[in-house]
Amino acid sequence: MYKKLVENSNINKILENFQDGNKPSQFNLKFVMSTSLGNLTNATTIKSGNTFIIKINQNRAENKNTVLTIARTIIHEGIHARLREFAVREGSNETSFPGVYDYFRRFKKNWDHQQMAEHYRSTIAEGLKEYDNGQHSDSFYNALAWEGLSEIKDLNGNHDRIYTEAWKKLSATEKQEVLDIIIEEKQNGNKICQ
Amino acid sequence: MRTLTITIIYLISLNVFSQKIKTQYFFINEKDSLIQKQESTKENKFQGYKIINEDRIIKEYIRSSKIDADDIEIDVFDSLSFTYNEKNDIIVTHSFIKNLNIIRTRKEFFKRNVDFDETKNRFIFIIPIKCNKYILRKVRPLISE
Repeated sequence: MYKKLVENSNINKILENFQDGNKPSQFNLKFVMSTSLGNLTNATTIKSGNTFIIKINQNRAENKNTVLTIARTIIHEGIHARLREFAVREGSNETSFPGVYDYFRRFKKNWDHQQMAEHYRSTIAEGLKEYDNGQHSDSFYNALAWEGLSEIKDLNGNHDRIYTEAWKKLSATEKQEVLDIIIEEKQNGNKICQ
Repeated sequence: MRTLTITIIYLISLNVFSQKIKTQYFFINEKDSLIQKQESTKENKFQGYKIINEDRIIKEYIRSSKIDADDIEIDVFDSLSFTYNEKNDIIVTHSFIKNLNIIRTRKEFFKRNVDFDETKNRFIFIIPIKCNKYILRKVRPLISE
């Protein structure tokens, strides 16, 4: 699945900061299968020194999630890594990455989920569509892109969960349509990687 | 009479129209401190529950207050988060719940090893209120990425 994803133009764009071309990347990107994440956590992205580690819940990947939701998870975490790399690379500041620093100023530790919910769902949807060879409608990919970006853990510690600002903008009907598509994919989607 | 009719239709619909999906009824003991309810507030409209499993330790990663600092790994109890919309709550009497197969405790909730995703199970929390009545509260599990 990873090999197919890196042939995807959107994913390559996300990962280009970590590739060693003519100029070696300042940071490494590592994918790890994990058995120590929460039961309902698909994955998480961690910064440790000059390495970004994407930990994927092995049990969920092997037994629960569909091929498309796993692809979505990898794209989602890849965007986390890219945004955080913007924030930590040499010379990063409010002038070089105004969006990142604006979201950090407003949302503190929840900055990247809020920014992703507002500005990167289309990136996720387009990446999924390309991976899937466009077998579904755009509204299908747009809905899948919402998982993990609607009701998020409050990393600032003030609450257990909060809504993202982007999710709040949807009507009740729109939210239910998204949720219905996500459930439908989980119940009927392909679980075998091809 | 109207409430009774709505309740009956609701309960039938859970069983008849979703044969593939099983309904798990979980009794909420409000004295159990490891069942944590998040109420909607002016600042944060989210409503939900966090159910903590003290028999499983997982890794969590705490962000620094500095945007460029490393994350800190800590051990915490595993937990499940659920959300609900109280507009979908239904109030029933004891006679409606007495024949339901109800998970009575948090330990049993985790011991049963149910699939906590929505693909196989639907979750209804049962909350006791006054006058021998109960709220049937449909909840949705939340996935994190």
